[in-house]
Amino acid sequence: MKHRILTLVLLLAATAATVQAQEKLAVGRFFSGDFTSKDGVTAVTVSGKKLRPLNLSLYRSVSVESSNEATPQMESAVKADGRSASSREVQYRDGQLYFGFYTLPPVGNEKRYLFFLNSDKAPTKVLTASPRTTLIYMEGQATADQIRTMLKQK
Amino acid sequence: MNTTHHLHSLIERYFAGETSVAEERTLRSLLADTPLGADPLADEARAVMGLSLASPLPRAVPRRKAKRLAPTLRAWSGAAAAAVILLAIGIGMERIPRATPTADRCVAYIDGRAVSDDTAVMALMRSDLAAVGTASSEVSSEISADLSQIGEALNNI
Repeated sequence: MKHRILTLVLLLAATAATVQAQEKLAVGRFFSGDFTSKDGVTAVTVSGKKLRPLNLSLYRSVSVESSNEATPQMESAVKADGRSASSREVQYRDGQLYFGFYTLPPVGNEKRYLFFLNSDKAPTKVLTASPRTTLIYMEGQATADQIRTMLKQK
Repeated sequence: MNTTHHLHSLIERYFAGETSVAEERTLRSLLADTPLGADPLADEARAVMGLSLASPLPRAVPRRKAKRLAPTLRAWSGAAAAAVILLAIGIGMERIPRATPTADRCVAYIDGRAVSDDTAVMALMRSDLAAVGTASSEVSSEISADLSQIGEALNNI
C-alpha cells in the first residue's frame, strides 16, 4: 500500500512536470503587473464576449518603443518559447527578429498563439510613429488559418 | 477591508494580470488560509495558481491519525510531496496570467495608467493586430517571391 502511494505521488510529480513544461512561457513575465505597470509600456487585456466573434477567449498584448531596454529581452523570451512551437513563421532582419508567429502547444482544448513584431526592423516604416516592439498572446478555438484571415481583415 | 473582499479583489487582479509579486504572495497566503470548498472563487484561483495541494483540508472532514512510515519511505514521500507542491506552485507562477474563461475583461494600461473605456481598448487591440497583420503580409509576400525566384532558377537549369 505504501509503495502504491509513493508511486502515485511520483507519477503526479512527473505529470505536473510535463504540464509545467507545456504551460510555462518565458514571455509570461512581460504580461505580469510588475512589467505592464512600468512607464513606456502599453498593455491590453481582453477576454469574454468581445472576443467571441474572433473565436478567441483571451487576448493579451504588451508593447514598448523598440529602443526600450526590454526589446532584446522580449526577443530572447519569444525565441525561447518558439522552440516548443508546433509551427512558426519568422523573419529576421539585420540579425534581429523582426516578425514571429508561433503556434504554441495547446493547453487542454485551447489553442495558443504568440506574435512578436519589432517595427524598427520593418522594410517600410511609418515615419509618423515611433517604432515599437509588440508581443501578442492569444488563446481560443480559432485555428491558425482563422487567425491569419483575421489579421488580413484588420 | 474585510478578508473575503480583499481576497476577491486580489483574485480579480491576479486573473487580470495586474498583481505585483508582493500581492501574489499575499494572495497565496490568503488562499492557504481559506478552506477548500468554502469559496468557489478561491477554489478557482487555487486551481489556476496550482495551490490545491498546499491548501488546508475542509474543516468538516475529520482528520485521521497518521500512520508512521518507515524512515526511508518517509524521506522519499516527503521529497516527492515537496516536488509536487513546488511544481504545482510553479505552474501558476509563470503562466501567462489569464482571465477566467467566462470573465468579460477589456482593460488597457498605458504608462501604468488604467484605460477602462472599451472603445479605446478595442482600438488599441485593433492597432496592434493591424501592425502584426501588415508585417505578416509582408513576410508572406517575401516568402512567395523567394519561392518564385527559386522556381525560376530551377526552370533555367
